[in-house]
Amino acid sequence: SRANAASAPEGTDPRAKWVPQDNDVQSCDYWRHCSIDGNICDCSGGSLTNCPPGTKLATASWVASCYNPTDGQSYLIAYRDCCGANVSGRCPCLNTEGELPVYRPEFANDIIWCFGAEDDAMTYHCTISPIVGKAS
Amino acid sequence: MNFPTKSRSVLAALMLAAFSGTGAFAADTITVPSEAAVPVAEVPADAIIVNIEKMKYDQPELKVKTGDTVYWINKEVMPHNVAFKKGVVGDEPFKGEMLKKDQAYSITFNEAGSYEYHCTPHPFMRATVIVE
Repeated sequence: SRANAASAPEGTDPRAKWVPQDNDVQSCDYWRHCSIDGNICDCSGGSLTNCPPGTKLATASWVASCYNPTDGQSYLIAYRDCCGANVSGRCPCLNTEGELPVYRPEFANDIIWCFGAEDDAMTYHCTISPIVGKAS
Repeated sequence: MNFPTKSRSVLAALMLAAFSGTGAFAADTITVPSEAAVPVAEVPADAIIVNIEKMKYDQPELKVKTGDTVYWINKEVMPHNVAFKKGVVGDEPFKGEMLKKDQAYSITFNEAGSYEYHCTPHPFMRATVIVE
């Protein structure tokens, strides 16, 4: 279940307001992961913005506006999935800042966003969190 | 417990799967001058333009002549593209590159007809190019 995918660290309240940080990319509270659903690619051979070797990068994605505590600005993050390999199982996270139901797919993170990956790969492996621009 | 689970809805994925295609494409009905998105500065001054903003194409029905090239320009941060379902421009579906803000993508239409297109991640974004 999704609850398992993103169990909050011991001693923290999973229902408490999300507090972003800017020093650990592999942690679920890293600011760019404010609406990530799945696994952080940096933990399985990829990076914050690159897929692990052997996986296929999707072109389409959902997005979210995430607040960067370092510069006080909000940026639009395009959560693109890396596909074509089984789920990494490493660094699972689920955040839903500004996430909307599936009838608003542009902000829906339950969808397997593998569209446009090479070889029509549709198996979810992990997610990257690249910035696509400044959000207003 | 740390289950490596992920329960994104496959149903939702299937719902959108109909709109996914593959990138590389070459057919007679359309020609793509550049597979990659180009900066908006490279769009000719007299170009036929469809702007993309506020989750929609600003020209739901664009009429052009055979041989015309249409430029799509994304004016917002939300990434968008231009995609055709199977059978519209060829036997295979066609999916253009995603455009970031102030990037453009062009397609030349070589045959008369009606070409309905959509945005891959936003299937509710639809419009038509009518080539006469």
